[in-house]
Formats: sequence, C-alpha cells, structure tokens
Amino acid sequence: MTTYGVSVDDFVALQEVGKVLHPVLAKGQIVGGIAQAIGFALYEKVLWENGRMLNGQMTNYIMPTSADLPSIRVYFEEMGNVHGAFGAKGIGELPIDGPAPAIINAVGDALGVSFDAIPLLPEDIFDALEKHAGTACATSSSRRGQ
Amino acid sequence: MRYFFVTKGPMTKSSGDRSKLEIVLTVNNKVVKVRAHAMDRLLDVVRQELGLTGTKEGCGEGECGSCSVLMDGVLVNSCLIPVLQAKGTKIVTIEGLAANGRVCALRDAFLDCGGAQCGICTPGMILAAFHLLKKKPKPTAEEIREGLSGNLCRCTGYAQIVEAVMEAARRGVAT
Repeated sequence: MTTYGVSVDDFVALQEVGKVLHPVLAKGQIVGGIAQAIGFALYEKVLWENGRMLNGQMTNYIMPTSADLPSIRVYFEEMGNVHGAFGAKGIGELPIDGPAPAIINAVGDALGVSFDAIPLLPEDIFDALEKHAGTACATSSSRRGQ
Repeated sequence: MRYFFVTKGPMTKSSGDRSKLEIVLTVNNKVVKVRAHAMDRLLDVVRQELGLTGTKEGCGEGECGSCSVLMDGVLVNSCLIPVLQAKGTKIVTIEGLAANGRVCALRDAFLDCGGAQCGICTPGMILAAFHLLKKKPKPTAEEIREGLSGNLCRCTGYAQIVEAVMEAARRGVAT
C-alpha cells in the first residue's frame, strides 16, 4: 500500500467461442486481448489537448511489457454456433471486454472503494482513498449513532 | 526552386553527399562499405543502404525493440545507434540469424507455439530470444519475461512467446 500500484498476479479466462478450430491461434487471440485489457485497466492513459494526443509516444503512453503481465490461463466453452463455419464464432474482439471491469472491481473489493473509470493509475487510487478517508471521518459520528 | 528550403531538396543534396563518410562494418559476416552521415541511424543504413528490411522500425525512440540487432554480440536498438558508432563492429540482423540453422529451430518454436501474430515485433523478439539463450541456455519463464521486456508486443500478450523460447531452449537452440 505504499506505492498504490496494482499488479495482476494471475488471470483465468473462460471464453465461449462456439467451436475452437485452431487451439494455438485461438488461445493466442484470447491471451493477446487480455494483455491489452490489462494495459487499458492499469497503464494506458490517453491525454488530449486541443484535439491532439499529448502522449503519443511509447515513452509516455505506457503499455505492458512481458515483465508486467501474469501467466494467463485460458479455458474454452464450446457450445457450437449454427451460423458459423464448423460451429465457430469470431473471437478477436471478445477477450478484451471483461478483464478491465474485473480488475477494477477486484481493486475495489480489496480496498472497499468502488471505481468506475479506466485506466486506474496509482494516483487515482490515492485520490479515491484520501476522499474515502475524508468522508469516513465526516460520517463516523452519524454511523456511531445508528 | 520550389523546394529550396526543404532539407531533403535538391539544393542540400550535394552538400549532404559531401559530408557523408565512408564507413566499413561487418553485417551478417560480410564486410560492407557504406556512405552515410555520421548521425544516420544504423536502422536506416541497414534497411535502405543494405536492403535488409527484416529489421523493423516501431517507435523510433528506443522503447519497443522492433529494430533490435546484435552489435558485437550485444542486443541494441538500431534506431538509437548513429552509424558511425557501428564503424568496425560486427552487426547481426534477423537475416543473418535466418542463415544460421540453429536459429531456424527458434523460428520453428515461434511458429509451433503461436509466438507470432501480426509479426512486426517478431524479428526483434527472435534476436532478443537468441541473445537471451546465448547467455542462459535454460532460462526460467521469469528470466524469459525479463529478458524480452525490452521488446513490446501488442498482439500475443507474450504468453506464447515465452512458451516458444522455453520450447526453443528445450530443443537446444543455443547449445
């Protein structure tokens, strides 16, 4: 709790994809989407000024490196899809949807403060906890009365 | 002269040529002589003068590792190396590694494990992996993650790249 930094230690994904046609490529799509989503959740903040991106360089727009990511375990649910080839569905965009909300909610669960925006940077957590501590003090007397 | 003030226009070209130096270096075991400005990036010399386009430009500022080459056995970002600094050194690019049979095993491991998706990071990743396996023939997953952390990949999430390097180590690429 000294740095307010968040790291993801483990990630389990269960994805319903219709039918897995190529296990290696399918897993690669899922893991890649999760890695991007972890970046969106914890690192990648776009700063705008007058319609232009201020931090449009790899130096100041931080995306995860191999050292920032956990091992990602992927499981498939294959329920088939009557409309897809051999029961398949598109999977390229699916895995990026769930992880950011899951990570933000996990941080919220751990800290007892809820967050509703990504990316969740250490300064955002610091601010939220400061604010939470402030309101907790202000309402402590009324709570005691209940 | 419409392009008079444009740096790359015809008026500046001749003076630009005069300030070029003759630089001799070894690229993929071949001694080559190039004419370039001292501060031209090694990346541009390799790609444009030598036609070795396997080396990719990603960010152009030393963050992403797409332009990785080996310079005297050290992994460097060729976008950050002025070509004069490479004078007299031995450069190995992805084309040089491809000619090495053992490295084909590394490439095959990338193929088998799904270590490449869009492919732009792959030449740099393979050079970084080769460099790592040279130093540590049997790395742990954590050592691989650290060893490749200078090479960014947007597609794979790195998991299958780490698997590929593990597999290559198992097949004995660097031994």
